[in-house]
Amino acid sequence: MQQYSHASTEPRPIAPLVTFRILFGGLMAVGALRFMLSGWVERLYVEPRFFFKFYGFEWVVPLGQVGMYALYGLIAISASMIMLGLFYRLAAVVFFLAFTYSELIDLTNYLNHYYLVCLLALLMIFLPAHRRFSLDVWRRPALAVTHVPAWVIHILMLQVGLVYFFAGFAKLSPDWLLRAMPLAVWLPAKAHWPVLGPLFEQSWVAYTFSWGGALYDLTIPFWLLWRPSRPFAYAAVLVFHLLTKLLFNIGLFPFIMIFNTLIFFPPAFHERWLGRIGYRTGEERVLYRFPKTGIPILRPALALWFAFQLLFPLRYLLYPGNVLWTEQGYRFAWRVMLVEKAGQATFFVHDPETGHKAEVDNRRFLTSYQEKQMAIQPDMILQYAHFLEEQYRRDYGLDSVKVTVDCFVALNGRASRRLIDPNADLTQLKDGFGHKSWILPYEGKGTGLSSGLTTANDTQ
Amino acid sequence: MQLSNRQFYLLAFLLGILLFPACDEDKGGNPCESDFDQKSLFANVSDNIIIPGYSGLNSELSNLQLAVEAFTQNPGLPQLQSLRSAFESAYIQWQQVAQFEFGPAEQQMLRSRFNNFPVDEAEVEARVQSGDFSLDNPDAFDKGFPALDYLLYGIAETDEMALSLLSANPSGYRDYLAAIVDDLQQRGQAVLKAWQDEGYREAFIDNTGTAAGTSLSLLINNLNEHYEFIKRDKIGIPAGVTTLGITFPEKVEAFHSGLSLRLAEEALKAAEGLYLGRNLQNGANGPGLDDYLQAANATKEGQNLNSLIEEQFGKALSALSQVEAPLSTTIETDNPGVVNAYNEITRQIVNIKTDMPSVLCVAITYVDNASDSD
Repeated sequence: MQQYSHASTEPRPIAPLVTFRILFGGLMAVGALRFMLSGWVERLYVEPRFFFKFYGFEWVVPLGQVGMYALYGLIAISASMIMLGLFYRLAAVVFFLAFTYSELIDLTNYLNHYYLVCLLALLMIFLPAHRRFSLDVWRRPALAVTHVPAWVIHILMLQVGLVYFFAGFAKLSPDWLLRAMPLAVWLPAKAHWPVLGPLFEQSWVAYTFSWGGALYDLTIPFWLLWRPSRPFAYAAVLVFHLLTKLLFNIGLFPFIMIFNTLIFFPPAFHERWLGRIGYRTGEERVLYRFPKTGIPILRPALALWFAFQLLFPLRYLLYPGNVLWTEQGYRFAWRVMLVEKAGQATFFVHDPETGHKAEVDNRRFLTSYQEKQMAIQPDMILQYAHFLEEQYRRDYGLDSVKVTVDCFVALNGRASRRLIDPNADLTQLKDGFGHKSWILPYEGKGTGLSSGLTTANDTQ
Repeated sequence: MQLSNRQFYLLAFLLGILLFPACDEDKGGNPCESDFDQKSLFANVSDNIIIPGYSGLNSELSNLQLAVEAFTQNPGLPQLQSLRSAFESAYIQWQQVAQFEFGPAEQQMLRSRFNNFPVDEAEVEARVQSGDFSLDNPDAFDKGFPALDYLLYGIAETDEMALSLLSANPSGYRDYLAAIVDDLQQRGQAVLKAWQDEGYREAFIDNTGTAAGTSLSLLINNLNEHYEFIKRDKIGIPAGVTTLGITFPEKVEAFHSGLSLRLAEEALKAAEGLYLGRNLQNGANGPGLDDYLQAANATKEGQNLNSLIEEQFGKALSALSQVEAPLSTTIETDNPGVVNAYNEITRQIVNIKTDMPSVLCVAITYVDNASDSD
């Protein structure tokens, strides 16, 4: 620790941070434009009548068509300003707030890589990434530095490394390793590809990809750290992410990782490449110093940050049952591309006075994408049930109604099972971090799900 | 950063405890491997169900057109009766193919042009009065069999009064009726032609695989979409299952002719026929989705999934057969029986909509996502 304390404050050339800033800002600007041009602003934020809230962020609401375009415009502009290093701190704050706000509007759209962007954006606010090769330095040359404390680079490596490691750790499950699921479902969908296509229908290919993917995720941060293996590791990064880009509909995620992992390369590498677009390392060494007042806060804040990063993805261990089934502790834990899941949730609204019940046609209130996501995630089912309670009370002028659900979910190539207790009156239940006892356990033979590391808590 | 021996054994040990408990319960293995010959299924469905279905529909529609001409030339009660019975046969035959709303049928938007119900009677009256017989709007409820049902059975209290309205010269009712029959016939023929002469059959049979857009996914999706239409629109909505017990008997399919139950039964049998791969002409059982499930050894909670589905089709058909015709009256006199049939029909949905695609490894996750996934 003492040793690291010394190493962490050792000056390192700022170049890797500059690359990170430019690529991150540029990619996010492109991402926001792509989002607007694809018509997703309308589809995700204007067309739905109901929005699933994130727990604790119920106050986040969509802003209407004009407002949402303005928000995405703001994201694109602030991201471009990050890239250019123009009014950098302000731009980073605006980008973080605007991007996070847009992602908090509808839980349906949660993606791990959006969460990663939020985290990186928050970190970026506090990093001196604009102190070289930026418009801010051009405006105020006094801002220029040549070096930053090494830990500034290290925290980005750690953040990126944690994403990989947890993503790999999550793949160590019987379904992934022994049944090659869900890749055995997804790969044959690309069987029409020229040359490689027929391979995707081969069972051994699904297994190879499964094991290779798990091994890649678990170990790639270490191969990137080790100088002799680094070039090969980065080649693997390129092949892995470009392949996933071609195989799956995962948007910008491959590019985020391809860009982020450059942070593992030494400053000289960055200086060489940045040099081609006019980057100068500077004659005189100037070390960036964090403001004196900030330093006492910095250390505990970073410790807290990474404690959270380390522990929060593991919270699923505190819940009984398999996280792939219950989804308790599933999000914010780098579980990427892990399951093929489909469900159907039929809701019933009961009038306790007359005993009558009404079956709900979900298409009246939800988009098909929302319905699909809701049907497999218990907290969304609960939220929607509360919405239905209000809706039917108003529509029928009733004092109180009961809401129940027939919910069946099929997981990784198996027949479905009931996810939710069909007798539970969902209007009486509240969401929270506690265990949801109304989620039915995944039991039965031949599932492989009722065993293994992920269900170690079953017997508690 | 190479693994030391100790680290290697630690890692191996961790993997070992992780995988060991899984081994004795789950036999492992790629569950998506199957030797089933998809092409035999697609060939059977297209040659023995879909194509005969459309050609049957077209001959019924030709008969209907002839009946319209016969009635026009020589209007009378017997001619009206034969016109009505030609209508009924055609409406029944339509149920055989209503579930194939992909490819050519989807292009023609056959389902909404043939059978949007309940019909908007005021709109039909307005059309008749104005003489505007354009049938272009697929979202309107002013055409197809439901409009014919109204024009032939619903415009007057008695047959004599209907006859006088339909045989008047000129008669807007008769002209609109003829325009609708023409439209149905043209579209029906266009679909059959695409299957038979324009290569859709061959493309359909060759479109193997499990991705979105393959013939397997088209069949399963359309089977389900129409099955839910049967349960919701033909039975559920009129019986008030979506409205806290408030019933809507007038919203049944074929309200005026009272053909509702027969149509629902035919549609349900057609769903069963597609599932089993049953030859439409001789009833022989060919390669169907049932055989595919058997080849995949599909089980659900320890039971054979195919047996569960076959059994549930039987239960649904038997519950429906116990409902007395006409449906609109029974909804008012014995709704619990109708709701019982509805429940039996509904119980099948989880089997064919969620279980079947899952065990056949039809990819669901990447279909029609609004944005990216991860």
